[in-house]
Amino acid sequence: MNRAIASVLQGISLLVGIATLTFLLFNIIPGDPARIMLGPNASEESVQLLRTELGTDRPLWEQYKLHLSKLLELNLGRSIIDERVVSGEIADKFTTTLKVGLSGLTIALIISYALNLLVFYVPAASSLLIITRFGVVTPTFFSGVTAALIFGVFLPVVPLSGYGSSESTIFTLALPAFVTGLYPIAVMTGILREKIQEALNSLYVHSAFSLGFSRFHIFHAVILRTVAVSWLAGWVNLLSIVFVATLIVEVIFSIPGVGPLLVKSIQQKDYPMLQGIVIVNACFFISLSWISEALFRILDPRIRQHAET
Amino acid sequence: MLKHKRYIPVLIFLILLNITPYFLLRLGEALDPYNINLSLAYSSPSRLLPFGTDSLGRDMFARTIYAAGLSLKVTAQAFLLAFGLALLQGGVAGYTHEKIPDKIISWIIALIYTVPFILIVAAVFAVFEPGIEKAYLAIGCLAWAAPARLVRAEVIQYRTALFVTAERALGFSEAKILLRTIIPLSFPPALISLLYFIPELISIEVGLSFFGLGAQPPTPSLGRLIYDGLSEFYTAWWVALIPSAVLLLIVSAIYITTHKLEAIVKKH
Repeated sequence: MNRAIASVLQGISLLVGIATLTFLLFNIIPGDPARIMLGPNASEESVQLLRTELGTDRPLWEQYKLHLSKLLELNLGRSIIDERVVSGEIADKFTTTLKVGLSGLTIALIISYALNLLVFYVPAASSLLIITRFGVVTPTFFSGVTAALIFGVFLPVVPLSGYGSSESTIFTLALPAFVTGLYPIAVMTGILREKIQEALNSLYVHSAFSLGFSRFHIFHAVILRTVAVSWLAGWVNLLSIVFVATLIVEVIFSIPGVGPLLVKSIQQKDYPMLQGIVIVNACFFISLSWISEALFRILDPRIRQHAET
Repeated sequence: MLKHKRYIPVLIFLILLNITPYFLLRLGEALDPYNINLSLAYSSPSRLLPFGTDSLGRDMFARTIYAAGLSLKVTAQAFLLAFGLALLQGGVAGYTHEKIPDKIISWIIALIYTVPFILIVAAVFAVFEPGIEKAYLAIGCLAWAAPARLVRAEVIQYRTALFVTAERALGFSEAKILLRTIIPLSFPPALISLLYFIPELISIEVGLSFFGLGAQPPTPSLGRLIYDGLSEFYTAWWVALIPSAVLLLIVSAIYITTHKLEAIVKKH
């Protein structure tokens, strides 16, 4: 119970930490934020107007309080370029990014399961597992550009920049998702393979074999049951890596997610938007790690006992 | 130091990692990556122009070589900085395990580690615009978190080892135990794990320039070259493909070397 409270406190302290970090970064930037945003040619009145709007003409402590209270109201401000509401814009783009990233992770989950099941039945197929290892070294830039060139330009099966339009097919999501999935496929297959081999050398699997259970039953009810938690924990750990890969893939395939939004906000120096992207993602990943930790403690009695002793 | 002889290849690798960029930059500069020649625009790869040219007729070979040198230079510098910080912070945290310095450092590590790291670096870059000369500072100052975890775990492991307790019982000072026993024992294995972060650092550097941060045009950087090539998929496929293939080459070369180095070190 103490551990649960400690982990909630840890999560909250990290959230406050991110709020403070973004405040320091975007509000105490060297020079005048309003002037930097509007550029050297803007008139003094419009700069002053933005200063009042941003609250940068007030004392620092008040600005910090304002920053925190705005965050609590989920008010991330407006874009300085076109006045869009930052929270709405990010929620919209973030959903797309999640869709692509989670599809990639799901593909990885299915492929790593299927490959390991195949190797469990046909050990000679283990060379297939070596091929997946290429996913570890291949940068998303290379796999993304290659996939886009092959399937978008040379054999145009996937309309590039066709995401969400009338031209979009199942492949407009599947191809980018597969590219983001390459790294997780390699890692997840590796983890599962290692755990299965560990289990195969253990006594409980030997006894299951000698009791005459079918291979199918042993794989699913005996081995997978014991290794599932560490396998899924690996899956959750991959989320933030896959997220970055998804941003790159979105730019390559012109999918309107957080990736293109990030590029645009950087080009336009849209600080409220950038700050929003950092905060939303921070909240997402902090709560995710918190939830997964709690979930795994419920799922796996071994972690629970380990924590209590 | 004789017992650390097996780490000589690692040292050579690190020296090479820091020297190679200068040669690439020199070579790239000698080939003139900025020379605009519109009559040669969009030449596909040929004997004379092995990597073709871009929309302004600039030699992609010179630009890619220069960009690779730039990316490697930033990565090597960032690695040394992150490495030093990771040893320092991880060492202090591990040695003061469960005490206040450890709590503070572990909290900072958790903060940097939970959020996709590239977003924080991107925000820092967007606000401070450090330019390519100081890019390594921003990357290095944030990249130490993950490796520091490894160093911390290594140090914790030795802190409570029996021979350390024995040294303490023999009346050795804490400073002596830390400097003479724990550091020499825990840092070399940590060094090998840290080498695996180099490909990640390269990806971060390339990712930042891909998102429009770091080196600004006309300076070629790998990420920028790839990004610029995206809009020319239909006219000039090589503009995006070749820099990303070079990136693949660099990353796999470093990965394989690290693998070999690990095997050499672990064999003893």
